Amino acid sequence: MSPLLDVQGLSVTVPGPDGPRFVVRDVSLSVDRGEALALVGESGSGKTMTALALMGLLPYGARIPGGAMVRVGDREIGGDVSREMASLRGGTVALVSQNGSSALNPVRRVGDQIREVLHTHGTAGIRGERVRTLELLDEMGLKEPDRVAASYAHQLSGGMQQRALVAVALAGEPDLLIADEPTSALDAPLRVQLLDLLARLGRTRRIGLLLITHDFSAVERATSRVMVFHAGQTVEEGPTPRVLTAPRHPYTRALVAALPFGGRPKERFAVTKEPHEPPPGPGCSFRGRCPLVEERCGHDPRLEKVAGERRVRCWVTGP
Amino acid sequence: MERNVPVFGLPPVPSKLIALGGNRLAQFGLAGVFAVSVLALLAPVVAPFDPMTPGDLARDVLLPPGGRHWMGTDQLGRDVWSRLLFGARVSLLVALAAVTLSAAIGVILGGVAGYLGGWWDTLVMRTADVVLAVPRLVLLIAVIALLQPSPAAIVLILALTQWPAPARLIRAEILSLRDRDFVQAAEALGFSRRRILLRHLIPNALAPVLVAMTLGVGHTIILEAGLSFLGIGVPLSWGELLRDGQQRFLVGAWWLAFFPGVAIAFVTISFNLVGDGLRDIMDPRQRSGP
Repeated sequence: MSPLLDVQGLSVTVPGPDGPRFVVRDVSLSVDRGEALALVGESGSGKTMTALALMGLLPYGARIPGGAMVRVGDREIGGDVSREMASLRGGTVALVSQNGSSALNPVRRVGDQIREVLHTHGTAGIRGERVRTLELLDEMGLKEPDRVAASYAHQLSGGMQQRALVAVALAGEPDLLIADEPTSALDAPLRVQLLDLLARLGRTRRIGLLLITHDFSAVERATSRVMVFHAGQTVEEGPTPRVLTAPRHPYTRALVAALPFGGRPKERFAVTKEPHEPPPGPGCSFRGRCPLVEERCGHDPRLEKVAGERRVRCWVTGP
Repeated sequence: MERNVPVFGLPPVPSKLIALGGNRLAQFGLAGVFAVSVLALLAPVVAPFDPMTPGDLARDVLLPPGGRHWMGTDQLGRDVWSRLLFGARVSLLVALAAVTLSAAIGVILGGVAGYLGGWWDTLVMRTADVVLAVPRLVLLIAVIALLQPSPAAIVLILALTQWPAPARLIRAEILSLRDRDFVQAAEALGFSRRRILLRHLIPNALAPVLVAMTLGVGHTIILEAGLSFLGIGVPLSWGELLRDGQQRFLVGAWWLAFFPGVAIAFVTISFNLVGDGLRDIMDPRQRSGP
């Protein structure tokens, strides 16, 4: 059976002073039903652009050049990816964004916003929109769903807003849920709760989850596979536990070494410079910051398979 | 799970709006608007005389205020107070209808211009500029000269000359709302552009338009009175009463012009005070937390 979401060779450009600039370069990924994939990377690494491209929500001027191949379920999407994906929004693919307080409509009740999705996508089922609305809020672990449904966004706490936002997104019964830093507005205990909720929903509803984050503790908590982005490229990919315990790419190693978990860091490993534009010309995009840089890094490294279902884009630490 | 809580439906009117934020002047204005509206609605009950039937031409003509006619009578012996009450119906109805229609036109056109942008924006807003560039009274007189002056036509013409103001307001609001997260969220949920504009953007942009509408009612009453004063308005409106009075003012019948004039001033000031109060409450820059 083919995976739920299969993307091959996706690139995104934005207009720049010297013509189009690549912000996502030749990214391939797949997510299966019930599986959670994390996209990790620093700001500007292209992870959000990848998600927006998959929603058909790229900002004005951004383009998908070349022939990206996207398959959602059995449906092949060619040609204008943005336009084709737009027709799947809400029903097949749904988005949970960062901030529930601004992503919920301020002048409409939460219940009405859920009901609107049920109505638009015809997903209320035989029990009707009202009952289904309350069931969804209940499923999100919200106590007193009837009171939440009758509330406006500003009357809810941050954690409740975020759960309500997930309820709105799930109302269209999507197969794939894209969560763009869904926990960045929450404090630590609520963050854990929301991640557990997302992971549980993925399992119970058999939906694919694409979690975009820069928080490795979120990756560990909620996902089974992780893909690390640097400068618009995938630099490492593999099962979450293995990537986190034994990162291979120097960038991943630097990210993991920067984490505070587990007392003393096992390994001192730091990038040598602040993030900046990758050096021009061919070669590894990380070579300007890499402590392990060598002569051969001036040539483009390829994303190569290594042991344990992993792929790494590095001359030095690769196969 | 089922409890008697309104899950869906219109938001309740906040008590803060009714109290107008404790603004005394605005409360006075609201009371004035309310009083005039009740009197207008109850005109057939309250008015002591028929507003149109002439009185006894020998006895009742141009009586000064006092006795049975506490606002006096006009040149045909009709009771000024009764005419004023029925005139309130005409003036208020024309103004409310014209303002509502102009706001509806303005909200739709301004919303489309703001949300779609580009070519639509240019078309709508340049048309608005053209409408605003022509002196309003001259335009009104010209259009009425072409059409048959009926009350419906007057309402339509008043609306067609006043939509640019709400259109500009709503466009400005929508330009700032368009890039907010909840609009992107609505797009991500697969809603149509029409639904996003009508159900998500416009409800969030209505507050300044409501203020402008309230202020516009007073303005429109004056505008209509001006038309009636020139003899091309709606029959029995306050403007027409004023015009009747003006012709006899110099022979000493001051009450014919005085009372309609006071009525127009009173209603206009009342609406303006309410509008100012609403603006103080609803201006997003002054809005505090819940």
